[in-house]
Amino acid sequence: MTAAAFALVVASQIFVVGGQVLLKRGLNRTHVRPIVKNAVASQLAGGVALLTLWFLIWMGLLRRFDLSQLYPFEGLSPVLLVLAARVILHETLTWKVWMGVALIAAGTVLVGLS
Amino acid sequence: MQLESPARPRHWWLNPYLHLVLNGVLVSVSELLLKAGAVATAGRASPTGLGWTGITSLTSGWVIAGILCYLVSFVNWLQALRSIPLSIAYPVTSGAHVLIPIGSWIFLGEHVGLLRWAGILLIVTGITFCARGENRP
Repeated sequence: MTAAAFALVVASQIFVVGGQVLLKRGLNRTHVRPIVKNAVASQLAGGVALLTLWFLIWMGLLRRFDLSQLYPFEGLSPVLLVLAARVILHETLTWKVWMGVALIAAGTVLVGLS
Repeated sequence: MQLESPARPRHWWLNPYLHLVLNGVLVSVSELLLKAGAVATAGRASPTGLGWTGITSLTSGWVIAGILCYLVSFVNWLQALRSIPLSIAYPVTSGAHVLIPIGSWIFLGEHVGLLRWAGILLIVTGITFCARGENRP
């Protein structure tokens, strides 16, 4: 895998994590009264836009590489996402979540290797 | 920003965990439909300049059904995410990494080896931990 391809993989991870964090931030606002519709809508739209970019990059990567080469990075995304949820959204994480994410990452790598 | 815990939904069909499971199932079904459609349209010539996209697959009923499934799954995802913390909901969607190989094995006749079953087992264990990870008072 070339440096450019690796950069695309990293970019796709940033877009998927950023997109999901934006969606969640927008949805969290629906629980705060009064609801600011513009703020909710713009964050949801931003989330959808980032996820669309992720989808396009992911499709491009899938065309050029075997799924087995890309799969280990898929295992990385729950780890990055949980970290982002902790740091940006201030979600409380129990040891069960860390344990679960580590198992999922290991399992995804195994599925990719086979 | 500290949020008050969202009120419990009034109806069982609004339960966020039900929507989280539906999202995982529909994402997996849509991937299988897309794969079936991509195989069915693989040999088709593309319009000039658009060969790098899979645009000719859009004429396949499988692909259209896959896209519809995916859109519905996104609505389920939003309903789940309204009240489940992202750090729990997202890892649970890794269930697709389990359902897709099993679906490929049953419906598409693909081979699933021992190492892959081992990986699937690890993922299922991990999801179980995450799904119980919410800090309930």
